[in-house]
Formats: sequence, C-alpha cells, structure tokens
Amino acid sequence: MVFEKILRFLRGYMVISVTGKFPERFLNVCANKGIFLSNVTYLSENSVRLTISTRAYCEVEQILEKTSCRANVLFEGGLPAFARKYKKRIWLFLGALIFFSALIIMNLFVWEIEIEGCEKVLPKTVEENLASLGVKTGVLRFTIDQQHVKNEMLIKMPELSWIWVDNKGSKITVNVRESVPKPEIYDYGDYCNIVAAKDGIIDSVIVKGGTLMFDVGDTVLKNDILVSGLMISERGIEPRFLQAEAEIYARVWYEQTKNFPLFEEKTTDTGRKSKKRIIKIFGLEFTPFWYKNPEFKNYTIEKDVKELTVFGRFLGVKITTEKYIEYEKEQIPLNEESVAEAGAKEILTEMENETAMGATLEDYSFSYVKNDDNTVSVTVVSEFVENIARKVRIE
Amino acid sequence: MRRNKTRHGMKQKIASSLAIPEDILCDVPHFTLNDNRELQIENYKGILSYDESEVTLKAKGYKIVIAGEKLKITVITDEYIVINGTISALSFA
Repeated sequence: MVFEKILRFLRGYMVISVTGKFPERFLNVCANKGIFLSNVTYLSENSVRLTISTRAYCEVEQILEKTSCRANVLFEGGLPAFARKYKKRIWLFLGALIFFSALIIMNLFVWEIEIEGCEKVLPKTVEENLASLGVKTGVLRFTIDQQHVKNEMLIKMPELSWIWVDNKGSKITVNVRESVPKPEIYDYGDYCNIVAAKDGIIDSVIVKGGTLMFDVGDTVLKNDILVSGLMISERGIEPRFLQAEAEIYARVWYEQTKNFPLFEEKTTDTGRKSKKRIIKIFGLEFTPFWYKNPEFKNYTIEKDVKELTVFGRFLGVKITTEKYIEYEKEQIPLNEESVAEAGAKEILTEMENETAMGATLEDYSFSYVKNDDNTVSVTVVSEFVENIARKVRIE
Repeated sequence: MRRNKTRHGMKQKIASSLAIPEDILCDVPHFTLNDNRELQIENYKGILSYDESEVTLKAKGYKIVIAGEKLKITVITDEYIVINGTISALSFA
C-alpha cells in the first residue's frame, strides 16, 4: 500500500469528480480499458469522486464523451504537479540545496564533546587533556584517531583506568572509568614500625611481630610508636629490624558541633511558569530575543534537550528548553529537642564515616544550645573502639 | 445460452475431478472478505449501480448485491474490485 502510494506520488495523480446520468458506466468502461481508478466515493446519485493518474486522465476524455459524463478536476497532486508548481521558484530549491549542503559539510566537524562517568576527576580536566590531543569542537572528525586518543589519554591521566571514545555524527562521546588508588604494599624486606593513627587509650592489643611499646590502659598520642620494628632479644642475640605487625584497639573520642535550623522549609508551587529556549548551532549558543530570564525569585528548572539527529547521528543542532517553575518557601517551626536529636544522629553518622573500618560505637552524648539566628548548635561527644595501628617504614 | 451453461458445467466437472480451484478454470467470481470492512471480488463483470449504502455488481449469470454503510470503491480494475466500508449483507440476485 505504501509502495503504491509512493508510485502514485511519483507518477502524479488527480482527484476528479465525474457527473453524468450513469457514472457507473464511466467506471465500467474505464475498468475495461485497463485504466486504474481508486478511492471512488459516492457524492450524489449522478456524481462520484475518484483518483486517477495524470497520464490516464488524458485517455478518459474520450470515455467521458462516450458515456455522456463530464469531469471536474478537484485536485492535482504528485511530483509532476509539484515540479510544475515550483518551476519558477528556483531560489527556493537553491536555498534548500544550500541548506542541505551546509548541513552535510558542517556535519564533518565535531560540534559537541560529551564526557560521561566522571566521579572524582573533573570533566574539565578530561576535556583539557582531550583538547591537547586534538579532540575539541571545530576539528574535522575524520582526523581523530580514536585508538590513539584512548592510549594517550590513559598515559596522560593515570587516575583513569578505562576510556572509550565514540563518534556519533558531530558529537564525540567520551566514557571514562576512574582507577582505584593502589594500597601501599610492604615487601618482606621492608622494616616498619606501627604508630598510632589517632589519640586514644589502648583497649586491647594483638601483636604478630615487633616489640610492644605500650600496655593496655596507656594513653597514646597520634604518631607515637606503638610497636617497634627493632627486635631486641633478652638472650643476647644481636638486635635486628623486622616488619612490625599488630592490631592495636584503642578508645578514641570524637567531638563535633554543627548548627541546625529550628524550622523546616516547605515548598509549594505557585502555578506560575515560564520557558526559555537555548539554541546551539555548530557550537554557537544563543537564546532568541523573545525569551527572557524568569522574573521569579525562587524557582526550579526542568531541562529538556532535543538534538537534531538523522539515523542516530548528531547533526550539530541542539535545542534546550528550560522550564522555570516558581515555588513559595514556607517555614514550619520545629521543636528544639527533636531538632537536636535528629542533628545528633546526623553528626554520629558523619563520625562513623571518619572512623577506621570495623570500629564500634561504645558510648555517646549530646548537648545543644539555642542561637539567636533561629538555629540550634548540637555538640556530640562519642567514644569508639577502633584499630589505630598504622605502618610506617623505618628509614 | 444453453451451450454456455453446458460448457460451464463441463468446466466445473473438470475442475472438481482434477481438484483445481473452480475460479481458475470457470471464471466465476472469487470473494475475499476481511472482517466486515473490506471485500475484494475478482472476476466481476461490471458495476450496475453504486451508492453509499448499496453496490450492485454484474457477474456471470447473476447480480451481486453488497449492502452496508459508507461504502467506497477503493480500487477498480477490469479484473477485480475492492469495496471498503461497513458491510452488512452480501446477496445474489
């Protein structure tokens, strides 16, 4: 059916109305002469509307005379009619030709670089390194050797473990994965002391190698040597160095103060909205003059990006629609005690993240003071038992 | 007329004995009905009357009457005709 429609468009067609005493006779004669008729619609007792090819219309004139009918052309469509109509409008075709040629030529360049997968590494750093390798907006995209860029980027940026460069039309998509920093590895021959990572009171010790310098219950300060790598034998054997190995569990105290507001902010939409469109054509970004910045004080932004693509390939034209939705802030007063309790829990969670792995919370207490600026200062003092052992190489 | 009938009868007998579809040998109308929306008739002889509620076609020795609503002749050639619309009845006169 679609193929038939395409063929009909290419050949050209006419929609005509046939009026006569017996329009059925006209249809029969046309059918017998092998003239293809379609979409025959009843208009009145003596009239029908039908579609016929432009070429066949020339043949039906005799049939019309023979069957005492007359035809009225209602519409002429298809490629021949279109060409006839726009024959004199050469500038229109020229304009379209220039437009498509420009689109094809501009598509040979890179107009957008998208960086995905950055967590700690800044996308700007990746972008700068890519630019130094010739991957930047405005360069011919065929000049980019993806394999070379991938290899060079991994050498230039050791913080990356994997990189993928994808080229989809005028857009270069760079996907990165960051590497995890390797832990410090001590060989068998490396002599180490165990020092205190934090201040605390020693709770329990497990020494696997080295000389213990403190006892359980002793107070230690940060960087104090807990287990020495120097082994002195009581049996008169010569002192020797080794790699101290131990787990030193100590009671460590933390104190932290933080301010919390004594109200909860509730936002409600006012219903006022405004819109702005930003058009980016071949790296050039502009906003049409009739779009203005929102006049609201508090608003949220909803972004919708539409890219001009053909078969999934970016053509360098991007339209970003920014929808501004106004909201009103409302302050709901809260109870001092409940804010302090919730704040203490929040501070405690932050403290737990600071402690070493496997640390256990032994005890905690909190106090709070109301401030003049409608806030409350919550101070939490907590006690954790954690492993404070840290290896340090003996120079 | 009698001769024609005899010839038709003969063709019918040959078709049935050779297990060939009758419409190939006997030139009889062949109907394809899709739901009650589209009817395709092959080997028809001509249109006798046409309006939105009824289409009467000529076949070999009888008339085909298609009744319905908003009937439209989508395609018409010398070999077949396609009628679209809401077909409510198909009768032979």
